[in-house]
Order: sequence, then structure tokens, then C-alpha cells
Amino acid sequence: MMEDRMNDESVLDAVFAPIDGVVSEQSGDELILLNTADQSSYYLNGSAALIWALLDGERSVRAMHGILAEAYEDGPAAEEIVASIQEFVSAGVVRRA
Amino acid sequence: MTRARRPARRAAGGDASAVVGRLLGLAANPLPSPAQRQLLADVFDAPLDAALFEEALMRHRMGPLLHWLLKQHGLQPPRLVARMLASLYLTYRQKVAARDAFVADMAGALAAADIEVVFLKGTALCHTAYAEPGLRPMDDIDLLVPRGIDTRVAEALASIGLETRLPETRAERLWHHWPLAAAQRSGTIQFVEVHTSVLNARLGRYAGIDTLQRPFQRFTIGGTPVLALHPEECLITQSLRFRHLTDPWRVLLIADMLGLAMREFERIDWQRLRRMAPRIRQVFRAFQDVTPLDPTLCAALGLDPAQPVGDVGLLDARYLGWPVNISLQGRDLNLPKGRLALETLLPDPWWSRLAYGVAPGVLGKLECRLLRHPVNLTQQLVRYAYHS
Repeated sequence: MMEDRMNDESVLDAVFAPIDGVVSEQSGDELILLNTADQSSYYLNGSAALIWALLDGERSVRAMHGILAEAYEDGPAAEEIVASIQEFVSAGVVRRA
Repeated sequence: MTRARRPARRAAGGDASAVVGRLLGLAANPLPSPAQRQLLADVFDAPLDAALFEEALMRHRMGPLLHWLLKQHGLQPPRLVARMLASLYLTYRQKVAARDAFVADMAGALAAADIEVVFLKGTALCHTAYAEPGLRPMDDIDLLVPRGIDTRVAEALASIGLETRLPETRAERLWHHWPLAAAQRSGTIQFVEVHTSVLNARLGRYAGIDTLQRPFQRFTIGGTPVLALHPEECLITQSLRFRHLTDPWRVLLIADMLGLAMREFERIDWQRLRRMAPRIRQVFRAFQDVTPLDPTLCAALGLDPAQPVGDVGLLDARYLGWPVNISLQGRDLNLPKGRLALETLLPDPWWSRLAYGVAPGVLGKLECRLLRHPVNLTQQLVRYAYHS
């Protein structure tokens, strides 16, 4: 519940990692996530998949934004990254590292 | 991020069933080929009933293999279908990891007790017939042990937490495997059947471990050596499963045999196989009606590689007579009595070829309807009545 109330700044400085038991598979332009704990599936578009790939439990969300801004001219904005992370958190597929 | 939703159910029409059946049939060959790619691409040009497709995928357990094949072929199905397939692929990939760890434990425990063990059916085929074990969904772990050492086997399995119940009644002792056992592993329940022969007597081939063709096929799970049937013996016993009238018919059984045949092609003495099981050629000929076969396999079996894939209406081309899928009767099949009698006495010609290895000509039909099918039906009814 505490994570539900995270504001953008606290998310940017936080470090997240996928929870154990989440597996993924590329399918066309989507990344499919399966949470094996409850068998729920989630479909990530290209931007969300990039963000997911950078969740390693070591770098902050701000650092992830830096990487994406450097790699892609039209990469996701910080707000978009924060929104994606918040969705991951509410879906229960990531945890604070 | 989008949360998964199930497609709404719709009544399936004949054309929709044909498209789904053709798709599953084409995918029943785990060895990708250009011919398979072209035919799969053509099928996706037709509209697909998502609800019917999902139901058929689950029934025939073809989701992970179809996902993998489409990926190998670089084909992108409609988004809803792609999501369904990828989810099934992930689900089974995760399940196989937990199951395989348990299989390796069982193999290790029995080896430590100096007990020979051969793993059967999906437990072995997922490793021997497919590129990845997760492509082959399965329920139970099936293993074959020697007869007459039940207590030693039970003790070895108990050492890794699998409590088995030895056969007690006369009917249980006559059955080809012990009562189903279960163990909790990695948060999932693993079901285990300890066999003392490969098949039951209803299929006419009691085969204890001491009578089997050697050397056994060998594969490893996490470094643990595991044995499976010799590929020729496996093809023969798997081909007999098509005539099992009370087990669900699954397209996956075709994929098992084609995958094993191609992956173990060089180890198989095809002349010997055809001498041991002369009807197996017709079984593969039935496969050829639903999926393209490799030309080298056709040559080994004396089949025409140019034979086009037919339109057998795969979802309905199965045995629909009594006592098919007894446990499902009523909700799976609820045929009028007249139709049930007809389906019982005059089974589908394509299924007859698959199950009995008879060609669909006049002589083949007579042989099937007057000899092979009545004998099989009687054997299975007698055994079923006795054991139930």
C-alpha cells in the first residue's frame, strides 16, 4: 500500500526489481509477462518492455531514464517511465530492491 | 501494460472448426519446414474463431508448440492469438522446470538403490521429441520399473518424499501401473504413475522392462542421466495409443511421434521398425494428411513425399463411439443413440488409419470394421468393465 502512494520523485530515486516467478516471452511487438504465482498475464508494448528490461534491482529509475534518453532520441519521458513502474508495482510484478 | 482477458465464447461453425483443425494439424510436426511455414501462413489468412481455437488448443495441448513453431517460422498471428500462445508457452515452460527437478530426483534415488528405471510417455518425449521440454504439456510423470521389487521401489521413492501405495486388490495388481501417487514439489503437486509394463492389456502389448528393446535412449536433466524407451519401441507403443478408446484424443500424440522420428532418425533402423510394426507406415501416412512430412522420413517409410496435406476435419476426425472418454461422456459428447451406435460400429476412416494402420480402401475398411475395431472394442470394454 505504501508503494501505491509513491510520488514521482520517490519513484525516480527508487530501485526496483522483478519479483521472483515472473517470466517473459517476446511475441511480435509485445513482451508477455506471466506471474507464475497467480498465473496472471500482462502485455507490454515496446516502451514498457524497454523499461522492464532495465529493471535489474541495482539501478534507480532515474538512471534508467538516463540510459533510455541516451539510447533513444524519442525514448520514454521520465513521467512515462514512472507511470510504467507504478503499473508494474500495482500489478505486483516488481518489488523495491 | 494490458491485463489478460479471455475471449468471449461463440458457437463454432463447420468452417471455423476446419480452420482450427487444419492449424493444429499443421503444427503437429515439431520439425519446422518451408512447406509447413507456407501452409501455416495460408491458414492465418482465414478468420479464426478465437474461442474455438482456445478450446482446441487446451484440449489438444498444442499451444506451446504452435507458439514455438510460429516463432521459428517468423510468422506473426493475430494479436489475441499470439498472446494466448505466448501465455501457454510461458505457463508450461515454468511447469516443466518444477517437474523435471522431481524427475531427476526420482531417477537419482532409483539409481542409488540400483533399480533400473525408464521414463515413459510425455515425461521422456518432452526431452526426446522436442526442441524444448516445455513444448510438450503433460499431466503425470510415468516411470517403468522391474516387476517383483515393489517394496524396494517404494522405499527408494519414499526417500525423496514420494509416498506410493502398492497395488492391493486383484484388479490393481492386474493393472499396468500402481495407484496414482502425488507429491508436493516447489509449490506444485506432481502426480506419478509407477508402471510395471509400458501399456495396458487393452492395447494388447504387455511390455515389462526386461522385454524391451535395448539400448534405452538416454538424456540428461541437470546432469542426471535419465533413460527412455528405445526410439523404435517408443514409436511402436505410441502408435498403439491412438486406438485407446477411453483416453482423450490429442493432436499432440502426432507431434510426439513425428518429433521423435526426426530427432532420432539416424538411430532408428527403419527397415527393422517396419518389420516389427508393418502397420506403422499407414499410421505415418495418416499423419501426412494433416502436416507435411520430411522427404527423408517419407523415403524411410516408403511414402510419397509429394502427397499433399489433406483436409481431414481434424477436430472431428476422431473416434466418437462408445465408450470414448467415458469420464467426459455427457459433457464432451452427448450423441443421439443412433449416431452413437453408428460411430461405434463404423469409426471415422482417417481415425481408423491412424489407430489400426489400415488403408482406407475396400479391403482396409472391411479389415477395420470386421476385425480390428471389433476386437479392440471388445478388449477395451472387457478390461474397462473389470477395472471399474
